[in-house]
Amino acid sequence: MTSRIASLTRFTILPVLMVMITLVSGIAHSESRVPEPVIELPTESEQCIRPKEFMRRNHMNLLKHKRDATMRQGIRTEDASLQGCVDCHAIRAADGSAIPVNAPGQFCSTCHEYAAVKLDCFECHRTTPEQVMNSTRLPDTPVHDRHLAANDAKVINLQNYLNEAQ
Amino acid sequence: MTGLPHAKHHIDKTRRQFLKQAGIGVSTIVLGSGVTLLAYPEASARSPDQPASSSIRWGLLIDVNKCTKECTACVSACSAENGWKLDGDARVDAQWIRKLEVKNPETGYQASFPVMCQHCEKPACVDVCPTGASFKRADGIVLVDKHTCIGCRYCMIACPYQARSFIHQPLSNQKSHAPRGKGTVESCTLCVHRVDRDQQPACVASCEKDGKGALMFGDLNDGESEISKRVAKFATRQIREDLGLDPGVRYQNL
Ligand code: HEC
Ligand code: HEC
Ligand code: HEC
Repeated sequence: MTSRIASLTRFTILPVLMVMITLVSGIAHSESRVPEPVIELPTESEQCIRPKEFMRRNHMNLLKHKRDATMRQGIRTEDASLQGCVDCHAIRAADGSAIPVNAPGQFCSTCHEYAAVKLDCFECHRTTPEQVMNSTRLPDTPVHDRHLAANDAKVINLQNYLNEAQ
Repeated sequence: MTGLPHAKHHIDKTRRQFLKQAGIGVSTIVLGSGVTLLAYPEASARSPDQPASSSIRWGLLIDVNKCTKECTACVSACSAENGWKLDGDARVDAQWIRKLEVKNPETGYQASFPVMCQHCEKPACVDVCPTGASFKRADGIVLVDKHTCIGCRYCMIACPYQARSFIHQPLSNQKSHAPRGKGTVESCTLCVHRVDRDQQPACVASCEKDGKGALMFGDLNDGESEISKRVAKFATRQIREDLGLDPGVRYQNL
């Protein structure tokens, strides 16, 4: 029941949104009768990975394609990377710190709130740029960490461990 | 070593070309203060737009004689690289990699070694997964596609190595290269994000740098790789060989 309502809302709201967005982008700003999402664009770059009009309609397809290519096949091109969206689209607060892209009113939430789309992506994916993609760098962590060492109380029987069937 | 993203990128690219052109064996590149990258020929062939190849089978060889009880370099490195922490509650703690202590009561022989996902050729976790989220990549790396994982945890029960764990708490500020989130299962990825960039898994790199050099990573299908030569020359074994899952992780001197 709820999902039917949700999909009904989605299918009615979406065309409305699309029409509106087209109107807004065409001739800058004729007063609209309904409120529109106000999107803050990045200032440090001028272009998205595709033309803006294409992105509005198709960013989810690009992302899902890229997601499967990376996850399943290990294709690691930069194009349409989710972290890439975040790196460009997270804007900076006055103190220079990055604001999470999915925070209320931020780039990846304004339209979605408007169109009643709910993303789960950011339960796992980082929402701000990462200072250094530190994969060439080894972490400076202690070599002898009691907390991570094996639990002394539990010495396992080697023969059983190697071959329980014995 | 901070502020290097561009330099790093550049090095990766030139290194790849360099290896391609020169067809070199193992080349060593020194990145400033004490950071050394070993580039293995079998890993360097693939460009970022190419899929993982089924001609490769990634594996690990763990020399138990070199591994010491106190050293946790591999575990620390994995934790820092992939952003997981332990709460000290064995029932829910992450199981990416852990040190085990074993003893043969008959002989008194004692050893300590790390256990992680064993990247089986015939993974039980993949067999039981109802959504296809557990899968084996073409190059033998067993992964959870968290995008399709529904958190049922069948795979955790099926895995004889207890190498998988479930995330119970909401997380934030994850590593960009290791997304993790509540409600899904996770396990060692063999640092697939590093392997795809011609680097060794974090545990191996750190065992080499800070540990005892007990871990070796490489292509078990390539007869010329160091790991293949080692498994051809020395007796090695897999844990729970009797199950016939054919793990890609092998233990020497156990
Ligand atoms: C339960 C955790 C989880 C959720 C939720 C999730 N992802 Fe992912 N995602 C991952 C993991 C793990 C990877 C693999 C990272 C790697 O191998 O480098 C990944 C990789 C990706 C990649 C390729 C890497 C990159 O940054 O481009 C894309 C694209 C992606 N996910 C998109 C999405 C989108 C879109 C959503 C939401 C619809 C989403 N993900 C939700 C865990 C998650
Ligand atoms: C190189 C930086 C960069 C990257 C990477 C990037 N964007 Fe953009 N994006 C921009 C800029 C700049 C604009 C504004 C373009 C313009 O005004 O023509 C924009 C515009 C957009 C728009 C249209 C907004 C509007 O005005 O309606 C969407 C939607 C969008 N991006 C989504 C994404 C998604 C999703 C990703 C990741 C797959 C992404 N972008 C990656 C810089 C980037
Ligand atoms: C210009 C408005 C706009 C912006 C900005 C925008 N989105 Fe969207 N997004 C939408 C709309 C509308 C949909 C729903 C499309 C549909 O239901 O077919 C959507 C759907 C999605 C979906 C698919 C959701 C699903 O469950 O199928 C993903 C993933 C997504 N957006 C990611 C992003 C990310 C990441 C950003 C920020 C980088 C972003 N979007 C910014 C308008 C936007």
